[in-house]
Amino acid sequence: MGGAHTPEATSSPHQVASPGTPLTAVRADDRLAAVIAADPAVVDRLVALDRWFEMLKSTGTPQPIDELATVAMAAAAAGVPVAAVLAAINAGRASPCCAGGADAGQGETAEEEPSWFADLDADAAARVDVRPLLASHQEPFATILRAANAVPLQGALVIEAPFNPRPLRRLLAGRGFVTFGQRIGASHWRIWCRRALAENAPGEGQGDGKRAPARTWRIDDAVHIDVRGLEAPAPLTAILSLIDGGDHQGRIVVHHHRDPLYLYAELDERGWQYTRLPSPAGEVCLDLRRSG
Amino acid sequence: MSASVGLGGAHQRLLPETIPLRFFGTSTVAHLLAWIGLVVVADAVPFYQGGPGPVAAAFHLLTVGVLLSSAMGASLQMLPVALGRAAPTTVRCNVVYTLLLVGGIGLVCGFAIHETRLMVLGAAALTAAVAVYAVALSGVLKGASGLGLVRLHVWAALTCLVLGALVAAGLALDYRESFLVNHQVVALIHMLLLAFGFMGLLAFGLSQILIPMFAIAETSAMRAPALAFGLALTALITAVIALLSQQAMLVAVAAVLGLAAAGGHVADMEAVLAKRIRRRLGGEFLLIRLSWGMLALSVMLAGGLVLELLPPAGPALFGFVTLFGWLLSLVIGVQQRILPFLGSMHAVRVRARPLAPTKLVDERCLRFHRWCHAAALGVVAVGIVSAEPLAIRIGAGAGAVGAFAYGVFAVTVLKRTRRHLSSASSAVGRTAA
Repeated sequence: MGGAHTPEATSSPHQVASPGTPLTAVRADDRLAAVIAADPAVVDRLVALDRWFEMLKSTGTPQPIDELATVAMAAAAAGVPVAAVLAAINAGRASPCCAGGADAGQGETAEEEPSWFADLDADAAARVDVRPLLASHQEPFATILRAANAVPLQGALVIEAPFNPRPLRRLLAGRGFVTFGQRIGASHWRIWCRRALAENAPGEGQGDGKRAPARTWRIDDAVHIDVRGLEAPAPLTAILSLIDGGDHQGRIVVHHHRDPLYLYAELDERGWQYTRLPSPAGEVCLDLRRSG
Repeated sequence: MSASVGLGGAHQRLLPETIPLRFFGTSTVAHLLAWIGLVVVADAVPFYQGGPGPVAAAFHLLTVGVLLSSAMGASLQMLPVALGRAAPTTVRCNVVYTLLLVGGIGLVCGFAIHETRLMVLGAAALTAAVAVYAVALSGVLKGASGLGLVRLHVWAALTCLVLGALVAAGLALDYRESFLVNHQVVALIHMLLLAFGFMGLLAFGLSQILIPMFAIAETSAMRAPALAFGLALTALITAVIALLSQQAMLVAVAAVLGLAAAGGHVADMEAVLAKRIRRRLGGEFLLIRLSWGMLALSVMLAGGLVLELLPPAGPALFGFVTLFGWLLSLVIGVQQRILPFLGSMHAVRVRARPLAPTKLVDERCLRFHRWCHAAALGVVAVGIVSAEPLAIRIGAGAGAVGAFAYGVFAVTVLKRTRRHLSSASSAVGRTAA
């Protein structure tokens, strides 16, 4: 990649609305250039989130920077959780909770039950039913976030929704939750959420002696974990926590600032293999896969 | 977007395999010799009050051969990896090792046969080794970002090492020139600076990386280790001032501060372990936890010694608990985990298939060593308190048998790593053919 990007040249792997078309929720692997072309106001919302995004304003079109190819990459480059970037982008479109669009659940196939689901304590889970709120045209997003914020590590939250709220689930993933959706009826989805990692709030822990946690997000079958900038041994422990926690489908993509020498031995102990992926200068990208 | 595959400078951060191997190999041999030395000098141990002789030779086999050698080998390799900095040059590491070996042999032999010229030469070589090591490690620490508190620990430890080595050189020279007003007090300061200052602060600092790494746990917040560091440093300075000014009560204050520092450190480490992901801790943690208990006991004995609460064998007991109980248990506990790790890392370095550390370990040897080590500590301590050389001999004999088993473990790690690397290279050769 290289050279000037135009919205036409950066086609998205997922459909992003062009100006004048109904807006659908943006995903982490959508091309940022296409997102901005479809909704230029996104730039202002991103700048409000983090001044790093001011570089997008210079010519009215996205800067042709390779690392900004997707929303996830832009978030990583800015050092902002991808969930926060998605929330900012989607804020002008529709509530992440309500942004069903193509993801609204029509014709979706059943999800495979994750390994952690069997151990979930359903009785102890917090519950939010957003259907009455949506029926009365109320915004349920704040209610859900309040409930999510109160969930302890390894605790659970159950959301009853009229559709499969994929944008919300991605946002919760950015806050350390793993989710599993069950279709109960034609207009009823039950989303099981378990907090697997500490919340990835921007700047959390800075200055009070705690260290910022690793950022995680999902793209397709892979859980991405960004440990760049973390001090040893936090990258190692964050990656192994994710592996041992089981909240993945056997594939993890690691974004690291250097070759994690201590990690390889631990991977072999756990029956995992690694492949080095092409990565930008200053980053080591590893594709970890469970053997067999 | 660049399509390059970044290695993040991995090759710069790893020393050639032979360098850590030499330091840890020396430590493994000296470990066995130190226990054998204790068997030999058992008659004199309970009444040892300091000064040159076979007992000092046996103790320095441990301090220089095992503790200093391990600390140097581990820090020269682990810190560049943890801090993402280039490792010191091979030449510099080789100079450190050669001076350490020559100096250590000279000093131990000098002590054993009361030959002051050998002592002075040995101490001079060791001081030179420390100077080159300090320059090498400073190069790693300078310009590093992150792990600020760990780096602070290492800087403080390095300062104590340099001061302790200079004091040691002065002590050796004093045997020839007799210029020190109070040789015994200076000898105590030497021990304080090197055992509690260098080894203690280095252990406190590196534990913040190693313990979470071994247990797969989140690191603790900065406050607890910072507090323990502050207390330890204050205790150390207070103790030195107290010894120089001959104020027993001030030494007691230093002991209380030291106890608080030790308590804070252990509580912090236990808090880290409580949050661990690895359910079953390895056997190394039995030794590490034993060392934490011995650290507290050692500081209490120091206080008791100054306040004249201990029996005549108090100084020997304090020395034994500090060196064999606390520091040897800790070093061997950590080392038995680092050795297979290093083997595994070097497999990655030469692009061979990664190798799980557990596949390099003969767990039976380690189990046997742990039993022997624990028995040795208990029996020797009883022998010292009861001034019973036979008990010391039996205990130290058990320690020597355990050290031999530990040596078998170390050789097994080396052999299995070599076998893996040679099978990997022959596989590459077959592919190329």
